[in-house]
Amino acid sequence: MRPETAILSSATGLFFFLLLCPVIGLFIDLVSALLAGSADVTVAFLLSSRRAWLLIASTGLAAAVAGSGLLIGILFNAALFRVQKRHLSIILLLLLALAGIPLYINALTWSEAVQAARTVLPGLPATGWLISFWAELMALLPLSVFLTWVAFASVDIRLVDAGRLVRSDIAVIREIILPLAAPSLGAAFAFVFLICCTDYSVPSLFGADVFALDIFAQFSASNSPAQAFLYALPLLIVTLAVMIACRSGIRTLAQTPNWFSARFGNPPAFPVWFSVLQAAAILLLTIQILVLFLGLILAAGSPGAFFTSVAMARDELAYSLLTAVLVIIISLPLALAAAQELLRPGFRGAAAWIIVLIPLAVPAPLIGIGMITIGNLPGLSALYPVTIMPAIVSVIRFAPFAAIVLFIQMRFIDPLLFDAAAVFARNRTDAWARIHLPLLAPGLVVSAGILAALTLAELGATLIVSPPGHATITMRIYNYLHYGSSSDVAGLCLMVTVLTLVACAGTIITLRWMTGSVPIING
Amino acid sequence: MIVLDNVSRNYGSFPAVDRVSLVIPDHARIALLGPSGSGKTTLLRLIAGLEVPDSGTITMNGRLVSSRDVMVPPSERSIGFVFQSGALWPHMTVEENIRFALADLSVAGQEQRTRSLMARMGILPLGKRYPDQISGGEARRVALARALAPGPATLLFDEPLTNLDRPLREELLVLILDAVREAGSCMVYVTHDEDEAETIGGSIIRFDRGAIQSDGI
Repeated sequence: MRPETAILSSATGLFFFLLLCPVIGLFIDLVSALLAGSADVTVAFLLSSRRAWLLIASTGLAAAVAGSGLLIGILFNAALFRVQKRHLSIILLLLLALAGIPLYINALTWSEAVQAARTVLPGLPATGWLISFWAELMALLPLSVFLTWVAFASVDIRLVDAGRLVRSDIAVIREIILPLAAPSLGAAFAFVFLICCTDYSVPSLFGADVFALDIFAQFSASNSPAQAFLYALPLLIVTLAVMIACRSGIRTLAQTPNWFSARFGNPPAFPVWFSVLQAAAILLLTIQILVLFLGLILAAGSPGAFFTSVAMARDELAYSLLTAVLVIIISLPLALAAAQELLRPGFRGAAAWIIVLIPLAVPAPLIGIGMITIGNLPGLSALYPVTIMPAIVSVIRFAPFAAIVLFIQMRFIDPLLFDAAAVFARNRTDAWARIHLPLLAPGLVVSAGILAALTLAELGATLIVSPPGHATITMRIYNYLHYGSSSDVAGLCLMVTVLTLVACAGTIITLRWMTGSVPIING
Repeated sequence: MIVLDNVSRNYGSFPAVDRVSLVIPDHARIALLGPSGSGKTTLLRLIAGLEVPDSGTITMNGRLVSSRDVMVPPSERSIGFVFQSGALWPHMTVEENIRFALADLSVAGQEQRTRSLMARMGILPLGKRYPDQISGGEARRVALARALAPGPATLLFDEPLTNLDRPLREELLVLILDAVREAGSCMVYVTHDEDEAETIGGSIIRFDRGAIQSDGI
């Protein structure tokens, strides 16, 4: 085996092992508990009426959020048909940046907005499922709209043009664009559904008890990973089923050949009723942006109060930034190796896709519990890297996104360029340094940006694995949300929002500098 | 009659079609001949209403259909278009591809027209197949049947025989010319092949760098 191949195989193996670690840990603990007779298997299969309700309500909430987001996304994106290419790039980058802002921050601003609205409309519910649905929908709206756009962009525009010659534009949307985009729309639905199903930060703020939160509560009460795993199994079955059902769609979404390339030479024209719905979709997104920024700025109070709350959280901020940097350093080489595996055809490629997608289907607390279990295994506790565990769980949760981004990047590169590098470069190091890395750089930069933004927002797994004396900024905000004053929370949330936007802007500026034009078109 | 008056279309600073004026009489057969990237396809798309001109106007039978301010939707121009790739909808069967263009007819009318066109094109046994289950030559026949289905006044062909071997190209070109004659439509046929342009048997317009270099109308 060539040294290069051996390194790649080892990195891929390590990456896949890391992704499966929480599940392996949970299985080991489950088997030991079963052998010791301390696990109650009936918990997994015999649902009490409360748990059955929680499961139905949690998956129903996630389906409603994902479905509504998709519908709004379809309307919004049909309006984007009329937008010029350069403006479209800006809108898409803004959507991406907004999608990176943690869900709980959006939830906080909506909580404030609802409280303010209740002075005018006292009957408006401040807690419960309805307001949880609304806050989750609005928090995930930028992501839903962005993913819907990617799904639309996967449709070959020539097929749309062929339809427009014989039928109205609304008929073309209904009978050509939507059916052709269906697999990608399904994948977009699955992404949002999985995020919503595995998140508890938003519903918990509005007093809605969801299954993901109950897993955390169950573990806190029993301190038994096996029991928590069995408890989580019904939700895990649902999320894994959704993930497997949409796996080919997710792959199609990533492989779509027409991204950012084609625009209508003559934008479609729609009937008045459809235009009204489009205007409503645009209005909703605008409201979301206004509520987020105005809510945070108003609640943060004076600049002095803002800087005071930031200064008070400097240790957590430093720990969070260090964690984000570590996640990037660990994830990128592993994801790069894994992306090559995702490119493979046949069974091996399909298996790689399933492994990469599994962490997306596992609720965040369960990943944390799984890693704690690994650390508690005899002989491993000495090796267990306690202080960097928040980084490790973020790698497990978010490095798959980096692998998918790098997979997309590799598909855009002509393989002959790598062959040419092998022929003309002085040696392998020279080829990697001067050809491979520059070609892959846009994907690496985008991956780093995504990893930084998601790591800053991670809560569910970090809360479980975080070592004593160390807390991330998100943990501090989460604690403040329950016990602290609102101006402190808002100030810290504003800071995280600014950091997320800075990470996105940094990514975009770096890409512009590297590609010399609008990065998203070349990327 | 289609009249293009001083029509221009730019992509950024690149003039794809540059101040083109052209009259296409009813029932005309026109071959638009030119090298790759000369703007032929953009000109067809402008006529079809798939592109908005940056300047100039296009009228059809005296009605203004394209200008910067006025755009009649492509579906209201009575135009059939055979794309270079065929552009068959992969989620529809051959039959459904053709029937999609016949929404104005009753179900029985759609059925009858679809079967008659499929028989004319020699693809009757392929009705239930999907585009990825037929050959390249068969796909071009389906694309031709779909373009002819609503009985358009004008048929536009954008290098419809690209990537086919010569005997098949010759066979399909004869089929296209017969079908256009039977339909009584006007025809604009884009090609970069001199022989193909000659075979069309009408006027040959030489097109390069977005402009007409010479025409035989």
